[in-house]
Amino acid sequence: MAQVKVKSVLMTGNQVVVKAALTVGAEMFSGYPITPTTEILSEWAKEAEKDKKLIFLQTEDEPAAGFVMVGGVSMGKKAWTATAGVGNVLMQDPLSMAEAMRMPTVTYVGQRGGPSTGTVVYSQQELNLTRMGGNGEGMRIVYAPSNLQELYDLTIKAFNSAWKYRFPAFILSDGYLAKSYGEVNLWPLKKSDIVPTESAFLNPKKQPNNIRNCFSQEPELYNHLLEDFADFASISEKVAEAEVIGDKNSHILVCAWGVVANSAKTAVDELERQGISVKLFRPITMRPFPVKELQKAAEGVTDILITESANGQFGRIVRETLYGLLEAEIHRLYKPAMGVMPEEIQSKIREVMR
Amino acid sequence: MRELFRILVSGEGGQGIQVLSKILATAAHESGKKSLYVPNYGVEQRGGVSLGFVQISSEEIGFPKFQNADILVITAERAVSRIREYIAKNTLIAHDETLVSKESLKDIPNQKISLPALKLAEETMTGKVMNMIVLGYLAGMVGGITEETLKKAVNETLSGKYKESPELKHFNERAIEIGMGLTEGVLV
Repeated sequence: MAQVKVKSVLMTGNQVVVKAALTVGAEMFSGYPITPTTEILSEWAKEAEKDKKLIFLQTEDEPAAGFVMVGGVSMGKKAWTATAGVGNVLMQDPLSMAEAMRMPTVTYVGQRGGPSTGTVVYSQQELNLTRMGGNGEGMRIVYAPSNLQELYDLTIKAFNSAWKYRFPAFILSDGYLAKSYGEVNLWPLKKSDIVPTESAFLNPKKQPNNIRNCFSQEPELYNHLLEDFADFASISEKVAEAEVIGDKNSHILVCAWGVVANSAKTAVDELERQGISVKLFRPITMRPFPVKELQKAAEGVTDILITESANGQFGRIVRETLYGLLEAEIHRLYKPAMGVMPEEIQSKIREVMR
Repeated sequence: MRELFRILVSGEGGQGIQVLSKILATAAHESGKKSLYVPNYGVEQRGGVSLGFVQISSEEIGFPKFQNADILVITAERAVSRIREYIAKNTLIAHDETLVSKESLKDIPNQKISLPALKLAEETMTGKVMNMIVLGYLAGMVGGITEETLKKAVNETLSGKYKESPELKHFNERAIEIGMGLTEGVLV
């Protein structure tokens, strides 16, 4: 294999995301500022200043930003947006349209505390909203990075998956990651690593398409939805990803996602140093959810500790996935809109073991 | 052996807490260490308590925040109530006595070190470079970061400000030297 030149740099999370988007060929950004993702908008604006081929539009609000993105994508532009909190709530109208019309939009979400304006800092409370938001059925691909490097890798992946499978994709991050400043390896991409785009309406090889988000008869919409569900089911196993670390034979399973999974990893490593074996299941895609991977990781487990910075949004997915399969006791460390420190996870695991 | 320093820098808006935290992370990275920095921030744009969480390690760093600080710097009295939750048994507290009274820390039993950053900055140059003295001190405490590397990180980060006030480069460098000098002979 040819030697790939990797550039290791120090950056903030928001800068990493913009870098990744440019690397994978993003061409257009529309957005409305909101902490903690405002720097995505301002960094892109700076890039667009330098490169006149890049399109940038700051709209009057989030719905407008989302519809601009859908418009760009429909004409074959690799368009994306970034939002958070109440902005993510407002964005659900255009995102539902993207779902209805199978538009490969890419949305970066920097979760902040909720409900409502909440805090500008941090939470994992936008999981339900990002996976299943809008008046649809959650035909979405949602990646959950746990550190700065994954922010780079998974942003690239989100663009590629969106355009490959033609479902809206998301990078579900948070304010801690967005504002973190640390080392990232910027991998260059070959042209073949980038999924190409095409216009949905004006495909030169095919007849002009009539793509609809409005149907007059129930069976029409119903049959259309069945096709989308079937498509989504067929890609789910290919797209779903998870990571299992620690002692595979341990009877204690910790389930965590995003930056909390990073915290749990530190806790599991530290316990291992002290001679205590635990395993950690961490989904990389929150939708489609890595069902088989979780079910396998949970085999033979007596205790499951679910931890998250929300009041059980993730816990419900875990319990639903494992329903009826095992009799393990479920323990919870839920800290809505608060960080979960490695030390806390460690002491909770010790408590579970007692 | 894994080396890990969890440093919490606390003060108030305008003292340059976030700048010094970011430069510390940069200089550690330039010295071949792993580093991660995250600011604490709220709705307010100015003023208020400012916290910088910096982790420096020989290995990959996980979560951006931490519960227990190894070194805690306090440069504002009103930060005291906010940092209590990060104090563990072994947390070393470095505080500037001209800014934080002994009285306000008297119920904290931890080992304390006087870090007269503001006084030194005012006496030798200007109070503005107080944060650079704290930065030099922290780099010295971490170890393995040379004066040269630290100055380079400072100058690269702050080069934009040097156009307006060229004397600042000299002041910053001098402040770094003073700060690093404070840790000479101190072993943690």
